[in-house]
Amino acid sequence: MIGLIQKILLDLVEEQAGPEAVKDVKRAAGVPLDRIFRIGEVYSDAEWQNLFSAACRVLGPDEDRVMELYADAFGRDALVRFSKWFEMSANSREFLERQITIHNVFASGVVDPNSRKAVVDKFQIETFDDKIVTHYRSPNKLCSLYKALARWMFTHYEDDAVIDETKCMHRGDEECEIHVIWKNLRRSSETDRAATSRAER
Amino acid sequence: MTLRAGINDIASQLGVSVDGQFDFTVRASVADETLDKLAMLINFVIEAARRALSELKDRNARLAELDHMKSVFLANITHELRTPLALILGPTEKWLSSGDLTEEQHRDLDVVMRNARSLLKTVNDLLDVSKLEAGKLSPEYSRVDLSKVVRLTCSLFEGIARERNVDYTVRVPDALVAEIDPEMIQRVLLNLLSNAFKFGALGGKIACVLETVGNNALLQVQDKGPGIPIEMRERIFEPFIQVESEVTRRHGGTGLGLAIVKEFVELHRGSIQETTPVGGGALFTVTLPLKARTDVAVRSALSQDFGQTGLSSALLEELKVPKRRAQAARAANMERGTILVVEDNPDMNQFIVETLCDEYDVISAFDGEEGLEKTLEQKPDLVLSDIMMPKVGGEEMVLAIRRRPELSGIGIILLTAKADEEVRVRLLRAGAQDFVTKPFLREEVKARVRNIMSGKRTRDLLKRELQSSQEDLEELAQEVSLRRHDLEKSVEEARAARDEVQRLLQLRDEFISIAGHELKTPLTPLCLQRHMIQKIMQSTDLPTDVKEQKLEGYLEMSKRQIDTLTKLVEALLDVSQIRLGRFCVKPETNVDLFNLVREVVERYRPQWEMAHSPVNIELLGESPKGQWDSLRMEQVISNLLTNAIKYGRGKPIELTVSSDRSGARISVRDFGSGISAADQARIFNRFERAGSMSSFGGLGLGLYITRQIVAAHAGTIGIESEVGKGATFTIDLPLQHVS
Repeated sequence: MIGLIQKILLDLVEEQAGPEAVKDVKRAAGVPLDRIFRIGEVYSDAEWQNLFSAACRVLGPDEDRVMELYADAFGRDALVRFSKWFEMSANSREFLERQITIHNVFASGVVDPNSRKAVVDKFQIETFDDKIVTHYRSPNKLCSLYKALARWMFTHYEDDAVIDETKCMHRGDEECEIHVIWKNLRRSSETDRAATSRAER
Repeated sequence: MTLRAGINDIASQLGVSVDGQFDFTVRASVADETLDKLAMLINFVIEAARRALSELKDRNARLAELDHMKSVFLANITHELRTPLALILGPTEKWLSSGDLTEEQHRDLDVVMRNARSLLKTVNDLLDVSKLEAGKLSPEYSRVDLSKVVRLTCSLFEGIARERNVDYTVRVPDALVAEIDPEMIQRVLLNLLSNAFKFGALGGKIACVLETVGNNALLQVQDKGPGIPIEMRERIFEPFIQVESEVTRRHGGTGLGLAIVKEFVELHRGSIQETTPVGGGALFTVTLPLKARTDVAVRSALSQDFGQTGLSSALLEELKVPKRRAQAARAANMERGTILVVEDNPDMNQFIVETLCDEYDVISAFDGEEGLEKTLEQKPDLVLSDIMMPKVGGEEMVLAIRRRPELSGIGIILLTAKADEEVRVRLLRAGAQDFVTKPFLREEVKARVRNIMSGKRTRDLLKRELQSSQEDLEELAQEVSLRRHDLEKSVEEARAARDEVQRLLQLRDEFISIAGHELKTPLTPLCLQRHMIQKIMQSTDLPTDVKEQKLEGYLEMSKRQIDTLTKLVEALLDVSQIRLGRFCVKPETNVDLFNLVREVVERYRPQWEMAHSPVNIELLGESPKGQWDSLRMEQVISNLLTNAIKYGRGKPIELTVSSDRSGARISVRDFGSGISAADQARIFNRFERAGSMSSFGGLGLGLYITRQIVAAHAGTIGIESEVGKGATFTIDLPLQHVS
């Protein structure tokens, strides 16, 4: 798991419960207190699971609610840190279509080729006229994070879409199959281009 | 560590990539999120480059494998081809030298021999290329007189030079000993000279020069042809590359000659280059070391013969000006149909002509340009054409033919040696009907030609029939058009007549209605008067004088009604007479017009007084006396006067009579409603009236009869009127009666 994930989780804990809570979470997860998670470095998956469980105890008992809070924190952080990707995407669909490549950017710092390939192979995507289908395979089973992040994108871009997870590793499937179906996209690249063209004239 | 030092450290890590290796990642040595982000994105770019490089390596490896497989296949297939070719060439050569052949057989076998040699040359070229690619070809060095090799090889082209009227010069030293593979170098020179003769213009210049420069031999072949475009100078030494366009090239060949030349020269550690000499054309310069490498064996072969070989024979054969044999004569029988064969290879052209000439009249052309000219000139039924030809290729020719509407009915079959589906589809769309792939069987060509010709004949027949029918139709259409014009005119006339009849019928109906009404008007009081008279007569109460007085009154009233009826009946009788042509006047002498006018005016006094229309009579000068029918003239004046009373009620009437020596003029003027210009034109017709029947009554015959009476006296009647300002009727009458 790349350090950006842990970093945002700990920032969220600090935002919601203060710096002492961060120490508690680290302590509960067995993470050294002086550890600073670097965004491009890879850390233990087990350590992440421990950190997330500890964070849930601090942030509230409802794991789904914590995931929503986390997705919101992640979205806000990404919006500042990687604003270009948001500029490049006119709507949530375009962003989610880029999601695999973005995920691979995070994995590109992994030195070991096999480990790198394992990260890269986590996601596969199929695109259709009205939806995309994401196939997700990871021992971390973070499909709920993917869905929470997707919903954050819908809200951010003000798009009307629904999510249907037809397969899930939590239910014993070998992969998660997440259908994201759009009913309405507020903006498109074409309308943006047209608007730019009009403005230029 | 500062941020600058962190960036510098990342840059240093990136330095590894100078070797083209991307199997590394960078890491920010300073724990800074911005540096981490930068490192992350750099790693992503490196990863993308790494992946692309890996894919490229895989693809190259696959290509190299395919290339190797191709070379092996080429070597195998060329070997396989050489055996049957040897078995074609050997027996053919034997038969040709036997002297037992008829002229036709000799000619046919000559074609076989020539083409088999050409095929063998191509196979050998391919074999050499495959060997060169596989690195299996190396020079077999001999110490030879290079001058002799060059001189003898050049001499092979002297005949061609004469045939083409080429200024061919060869300049070599008397002797030049060199350690070379003489066969390879002869091959080099054969190919260069062959190219020079191929591309050098007829009547041009070709020069071959051999000289020594230091430790090297310099061999130059120069022509004055179109030269090599600068962008092609390097590429022409690559296998399969040719300067001319694929479909319009003037010369055949596989594009292997110069590639082999270059390889052979380089195997000798020499070099070759092409330049454009002053004055244009192409100059190939070969530089060869005179000494072989010290580590290779060199044989001594100074006495070797470097004359004509199978290869040189094939090359020379290709260079000969194509012999165009006489084409099959055209028979007079046009039913056979005419086929134009367009094929640049004279042997193939002749073969197709001979294949088809039993059934059709066949003419030949040897390139697309000539093919188009002959198509325009001869209008054949079918064009059977090759695709790859000099000047204008088959594709261009087909498009040119199809652009001309006058050639639209001509069938087109294309001959192709290429299994190029795209070209086929394109040309079928452009208007070719069929394809024949080389090599082909005679029967296949015949069958395909027969199909197209049969369809063409059927179409022509239908076209002729259609044309004939069309001509008939056109004639008919013209006739119909003429008739239609007449018919339209007649219809128009009939329509006008019908309208007139309808108008007259309407007038008649109106007239009947009016006549009924007019006749009935006096009858009603007449009946009443008769009843009253009868009653008075039967009365016993009334004194006789009263009785007589009353009877007299009723009788007077009855008389007026009877007069009216009489006039109506007379008017009807007049019309009837006029219509039957029996109307005539009975002129009397010295009829006094003033008296006549005064009597009539006086007679109608009760009417004009009752209408409050005083009649002012103006009698100018002496009373005209003429030859007139006095009764009819009375009728004329009465009609005009009663009309004036009728239409000028309440307003005065002016009646003027004047005369001169030739005639008299009567004019009657009223100040009534007047008559419109349109009505003026028709009021002298039967049953016409100026006002409506309901307002004014009358039969509408008065003016009609008036005009007839005036006309019968050789006079005229006219009207001047303006709506709202009354009307003046003027009659001019000659004094003398004219029959």
